[in-house]
Amino acid sequence: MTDAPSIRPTPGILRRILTSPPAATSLGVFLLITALCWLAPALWIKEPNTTRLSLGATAPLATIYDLTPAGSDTPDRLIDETRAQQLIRNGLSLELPGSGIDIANEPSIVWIEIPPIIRSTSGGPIRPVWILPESVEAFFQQAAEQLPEGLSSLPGPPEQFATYYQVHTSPIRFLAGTDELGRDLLARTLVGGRLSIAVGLAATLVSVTIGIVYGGVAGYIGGKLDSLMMRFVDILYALPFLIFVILLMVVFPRSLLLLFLAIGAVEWLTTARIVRGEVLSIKKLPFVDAARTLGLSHGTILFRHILPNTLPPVIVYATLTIPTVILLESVLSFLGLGVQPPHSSWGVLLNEGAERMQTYPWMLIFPASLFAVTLLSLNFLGDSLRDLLDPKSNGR
Amino acid sequence: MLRFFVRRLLLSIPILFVVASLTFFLVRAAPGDPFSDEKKIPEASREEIVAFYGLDLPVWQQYLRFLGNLLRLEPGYSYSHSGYSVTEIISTHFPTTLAYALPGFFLALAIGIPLGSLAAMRHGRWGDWAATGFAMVGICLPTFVIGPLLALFFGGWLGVLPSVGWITSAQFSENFAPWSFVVLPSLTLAILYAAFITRLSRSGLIETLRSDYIRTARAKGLSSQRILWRHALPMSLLPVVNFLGPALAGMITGSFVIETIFNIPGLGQFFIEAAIDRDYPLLLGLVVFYAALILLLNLLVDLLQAALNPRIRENLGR
Repeated sequence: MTDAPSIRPTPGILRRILTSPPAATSLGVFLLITALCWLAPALWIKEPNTTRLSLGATAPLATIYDLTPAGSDTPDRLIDETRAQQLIRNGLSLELPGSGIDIANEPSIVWIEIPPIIRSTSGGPIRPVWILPESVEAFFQQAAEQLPEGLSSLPGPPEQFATYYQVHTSPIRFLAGTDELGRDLLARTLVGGRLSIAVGLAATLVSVTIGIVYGGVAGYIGGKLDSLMMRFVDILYALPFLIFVILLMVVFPRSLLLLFLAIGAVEWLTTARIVRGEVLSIKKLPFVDAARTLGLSHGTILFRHILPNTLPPVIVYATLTIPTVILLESVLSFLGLGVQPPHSSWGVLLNEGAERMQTYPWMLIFPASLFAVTLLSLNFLGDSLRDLLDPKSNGR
Repeated sequence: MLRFFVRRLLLSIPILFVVASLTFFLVRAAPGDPFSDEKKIPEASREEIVAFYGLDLPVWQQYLRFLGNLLRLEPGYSYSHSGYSVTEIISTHFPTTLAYALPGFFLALAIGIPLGSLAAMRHGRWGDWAATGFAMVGICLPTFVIGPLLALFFGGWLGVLPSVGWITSAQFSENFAPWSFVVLPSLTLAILYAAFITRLSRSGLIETLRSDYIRTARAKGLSSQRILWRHALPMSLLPVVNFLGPALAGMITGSFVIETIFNIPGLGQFFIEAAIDRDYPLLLGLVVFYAALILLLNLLVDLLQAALNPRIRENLGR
């Protein structure tokens, strides 16, 4: 190391991050993801909570078709090719010609939905199907043959159950596909990321604040109180903190604020230890004596003169706490104790994706990659910050 | 050594007391009681139930009762699993958790230490990158994503291991040997901690190999094999041993997730269930049980540390 360690560390940290490629890259990636999460949905992406039931789970970038009801000119619903074929194959009309059709080349298509109270002889309702216009008559013949006893014909003319649509290729594409309710996965992932990142940052802030005050007071006062306070930290260290977060989440009405506080309340221990150690060594320095001779109060000395100097190691640790907290939030959401349904977070999305990864792999791949990249960038940033700020590892 | 052991054991009694009291009052601070949102219960029977479990007594009496029950090692009867006492539930279902958590723990060590040490010896080369990469992935992907992925791969595609369920679930066990149900849960549980241990043992060995006494050993002309095995490795593992306490605690809470993923009838599922259903006796009993378990494990870890590190051993002797 050529230059002496600066007394005011904060500007130094930023400069050192920017001059170190790994740190700057990982910080950049994290900031980019954060910015995307907040800005992108507002700029161009679809509403995250709009459901498109006719569309269902669509693969990323799959061609989507707009269907316009006959006799109207406003598009009514969206459909993608695989789903249409699946429905055509799954319908009652198994033997009808045209399953595995290329709907891109079909000018029109028919949606038949018979009320679920009408069941076929094979049990179960007659399922809604997409079929080709020329199959309509055959479909209703087949349906009529399969009607249960006591029901000689469908209650109403077949036209009542059939809607004719014109097929057009839609300009809409879903970059990351959609989930089972047809919600845009990209929008959901980005908006869910807001929550995860916000929880990560806020809970880390809470934990760091508690840790700095607790560790600062313990280290500054010292003596019996210090060993008592640190003994308490040792005890809490030994306890499985997830249990306490779960207790807090269960006992009190669930809210985001509580989530921040509950996670923050269990993550402060290491910060407290780090800060105490730093304060113990800083309070022996001459400038603290000088402050005391000037007649400053203990509070001023501690909070204005000592604690700011403990920041570098705290910043390193806080950077590593954010990914831990994001992971913890996802675990809580997985257990059903975190973010509640109308909202979504990465934890919720990952859980949904992991459940359906065999049928709709993109529902796992996309949120999981963004999640992993975010955590990776934060862990990487923390590691390189540690290397940057730790004089011992400068030789590397 | 013995004095240290006994002193720590005695010290854990007040800690357990504090944990138990804290949990008790925390849970009681919540509005309502476990039976308040049950629908269509006649008021008379509700009162009867509440009186049966002693929930109508003043809080301080309930508290004393709870402490007394704890002393007799019988925290009472579960509300939601009626007829089962908490002790019964723990003694039937904790072995299930242990059956995959213990192999998982050793698996984490068996993956993490060699991988980390290898990475340190190949510091800066591609072996190092591979190991660090594995550690990063293990840390950055949540267990509930890794678990289903492993289940899909080994259970779905290869079909060599059951992807879900437990030894006792008869419908699966015909095709698979009993041990095979343990593999995926332990592996899933192990990966996160293997990742941490890899990082710790890697940085530990890198640090140790740079230290002065290794240079001395090298100057004395010892073979590099002997330096590594006799001098560097044992010291480099100290951070790993330090981490064992938190790792064990984390694995116990990790069991909540593992048991939900693989549908294992272990104690972790009971804890989550008890927390959501507000099954007070079971919840409090489990918290105290977990706390006691972790205190005991931490004590064992400290003893292990003392056995490995002469400096700590000397401090304990005094």
